[in-house]
Amino acid sequence: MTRRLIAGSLAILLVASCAGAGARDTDRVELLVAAAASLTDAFGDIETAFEGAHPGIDVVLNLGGSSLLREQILAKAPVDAFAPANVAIMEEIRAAGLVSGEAPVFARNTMAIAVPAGNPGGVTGLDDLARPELLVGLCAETVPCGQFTRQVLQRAGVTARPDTREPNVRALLTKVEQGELDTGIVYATDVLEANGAVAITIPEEHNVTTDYPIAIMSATSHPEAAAAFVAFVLSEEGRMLLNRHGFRLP
Amino acid sequence: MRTGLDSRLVIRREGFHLDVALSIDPGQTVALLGPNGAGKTTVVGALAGLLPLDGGYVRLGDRVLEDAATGTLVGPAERRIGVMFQDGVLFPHLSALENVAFGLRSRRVPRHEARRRAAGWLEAVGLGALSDRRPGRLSGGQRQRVALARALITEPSMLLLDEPFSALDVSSRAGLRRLLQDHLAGFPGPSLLITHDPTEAFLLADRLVVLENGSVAQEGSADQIRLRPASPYAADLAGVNLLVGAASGKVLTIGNHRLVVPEAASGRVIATIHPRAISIHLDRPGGSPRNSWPTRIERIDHHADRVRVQTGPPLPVTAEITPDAQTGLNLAPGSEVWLSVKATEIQVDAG
Amino acid sequence: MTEDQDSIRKASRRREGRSRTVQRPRRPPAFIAIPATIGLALFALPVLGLLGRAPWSRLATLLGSDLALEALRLSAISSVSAAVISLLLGVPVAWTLCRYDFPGRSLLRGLVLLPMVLPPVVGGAALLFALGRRGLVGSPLYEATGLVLPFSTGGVILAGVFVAMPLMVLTVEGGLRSLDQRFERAAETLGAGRWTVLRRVTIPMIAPSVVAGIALTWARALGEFGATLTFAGNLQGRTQTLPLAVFVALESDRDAALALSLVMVIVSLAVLVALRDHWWRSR
Repeated sequence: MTRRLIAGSLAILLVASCAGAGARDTDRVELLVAAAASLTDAFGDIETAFEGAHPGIDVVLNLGGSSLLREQILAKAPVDAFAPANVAIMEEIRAAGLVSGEAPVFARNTMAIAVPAGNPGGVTGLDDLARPELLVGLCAETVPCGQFTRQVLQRAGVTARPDTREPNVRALLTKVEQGELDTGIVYATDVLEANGAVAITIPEEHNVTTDYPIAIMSATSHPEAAAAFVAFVLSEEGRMLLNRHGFRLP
Repeated sequence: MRTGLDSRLVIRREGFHLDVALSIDPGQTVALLGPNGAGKTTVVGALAGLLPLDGGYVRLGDRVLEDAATGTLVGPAERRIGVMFQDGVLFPHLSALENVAFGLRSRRVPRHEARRRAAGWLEAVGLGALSDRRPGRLSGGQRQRVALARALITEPSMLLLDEPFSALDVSSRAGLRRLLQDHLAGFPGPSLLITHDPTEAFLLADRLVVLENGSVAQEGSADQIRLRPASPYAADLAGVNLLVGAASGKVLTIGNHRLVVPEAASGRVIATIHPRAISIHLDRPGGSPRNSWPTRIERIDHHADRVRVQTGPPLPVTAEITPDAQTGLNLAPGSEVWLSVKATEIQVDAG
Repeated sequence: MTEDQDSIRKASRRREGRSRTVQRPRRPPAFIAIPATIGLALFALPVLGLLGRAPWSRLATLLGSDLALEALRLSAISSVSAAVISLLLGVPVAWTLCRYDFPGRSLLRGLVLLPMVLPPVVGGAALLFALGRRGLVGSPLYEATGLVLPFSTGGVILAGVFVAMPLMVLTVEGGLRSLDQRFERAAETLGAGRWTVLRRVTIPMIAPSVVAGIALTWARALGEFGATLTFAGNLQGRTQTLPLAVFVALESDRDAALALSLVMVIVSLAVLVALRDHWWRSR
């Protein structure tokens, strides 16, 4: 019985791996794009559209906290193009001599307060983040999202009482969506994409605008493909897709 | 008050069926003999309450310990039946003293008192000096002595001895046997000795029960079984010649008769000779280093494929031959014959 | 002795050595030695890498920081608590799985081992669905008592128990399985009730397995990251254990991360080596 179970599971794995291998064309160029977690949905659409226009290129997205991606790139991960959520990080990469050419800003974002559907904590503004009875989540200060959050709170003069500092904005948003947290500060674009979380706008005078730069990595082995991808992100079609996901355009 | 055992044990397992009626009077020792797989250890488990009965009952004196019909079931901890397990089953993490004291401690005797009494029991089984040792640093014989002390210290109503000698060499057997003889003689309750060695059974038990395939094949005194064995196994078992004598070097004196034995010994010994090891001749056999003597046939019993021949003085024994041999030698009660047995066929145990 | 006789004796000794393993061979053959060396290197190299990069001169300063001290304190509390809870719950689970036959036992046995193979993040998410404020059990719990497990030190301990207890169940079940039950029966015939048998016979006799189980669960709980982050979050002093502090510090202060990693490696290694020598070799 047990043996048959194991054999069955192995067979399923084998079939699945064969199917996966069959779908992949070995002649295609594999382009590794490291992008900020907040770009997850927008870059997903861009990947689809770009691959449609360039059948010879297979874009592989590595999405994560921008600082984590920076560490990977500094550790010589084979990344072809990089799109972090803040210009400072790109400048660090450039200082390490790893950026090839320009790093144009292709999108802008702002911060927003996210609350679960129904807003059970009755959150109306930044002041509520100081309420001790609420479960408040913020981004870890080591990621851009956390640094922007700190700026926002400073401008509003609010001392937040966080119950967790999530190392990644998506993880934070998920916990707000599930209602495990009463509120949290995330990128405005993220709340637009959220399932069941609602945005509460932060007044312009307290809010910060973040710039998303994109650049080709000097270590890339596919400079043309990387250039094509960057060009596509900056193109009208790319801008349209970014805009659809709530990003402001430069 | 009667404290004897009265039991009927029915246990059904796949491919095995035990159905045994067993009664033992107070102070009596019954030996339960049987080949491997006959169900001997199952009987121990059933009596001790470790294996629930599918049918039957266990009564000890006025106490009903188990009755499948009424659902009465007294657990092993409350039965007050002392068990000396095969291989001892001493707790390896406890010293000899703590092993012996275990039963008292379990019955809430204060630690100090329990240890004092345990030390006394270790003294009584000759292990006073080794009380701090763990079982791993005791010999097989010493372990069994500890096991006996551990079983007896709680003053059980009944004693079960499961193959107490099986793991021992010949020299430690004799010592343990003497010890058991002493303690069984003074034990007021019924005792059951499980064994497959007829010598032990004859020496320690008042009555023998032969167990085969889960049921009693025969029961009675050693002599009763010797004279009328009910099965080949019983014949093999009880037909064994047991001779008590005095050894001096390699010579064994039994009554007026002398036998040459393979190994030197001294003092009281028991010689065991299998009937098939005894040859019958019409004339004095040739060859020098053999034990041979003239005698007269007293009785002949016919069994399926063998003939058992009882002989008279100077050394009454039972010999076993084939029906063909009996016809060939023309043997009948009253025949004058010579018997011979090789020295190497005589097993000698210190008595 | 002539040379001939000598060589014959050697030859016969060699034959003997082949037919029964009389002597322990002095060094393994190449087909064992080469993969074994590669395998061991796989364990040793990352540790060496860590030692090589460790900021030895600044170690004291780095470990004296609030972040490090609070993470150390929290990890000590939560890993020990997780090991103790795993002991109290895992031994009865192992007992049930080993000693009782009931329908669905195989399924339960698989279920118990699931956290060992599940990605810890999945485990954390599953815990959130079950015990989160909006979870299956967590929701009524919150309504009734106001207790919130996520984002609390209790949540960290719970995540540790979830991922580590399978190791306790596994080792203790193995110990129980190899225990000759005649010892427990002997104790019963000596008048010992079930509790006495457990306390004076079973537990002492399976003690090596239990101790090994404690060490493994403690080490696993100490290293727990994914389920903790997902279920309990990350807040200095409340839920930020050593692994979380390392993860966060990796992105800001690499030296601090290395110093904390070093502490984990040394403490875990010391405990595991000591236990292997004391318990597993003697079995």
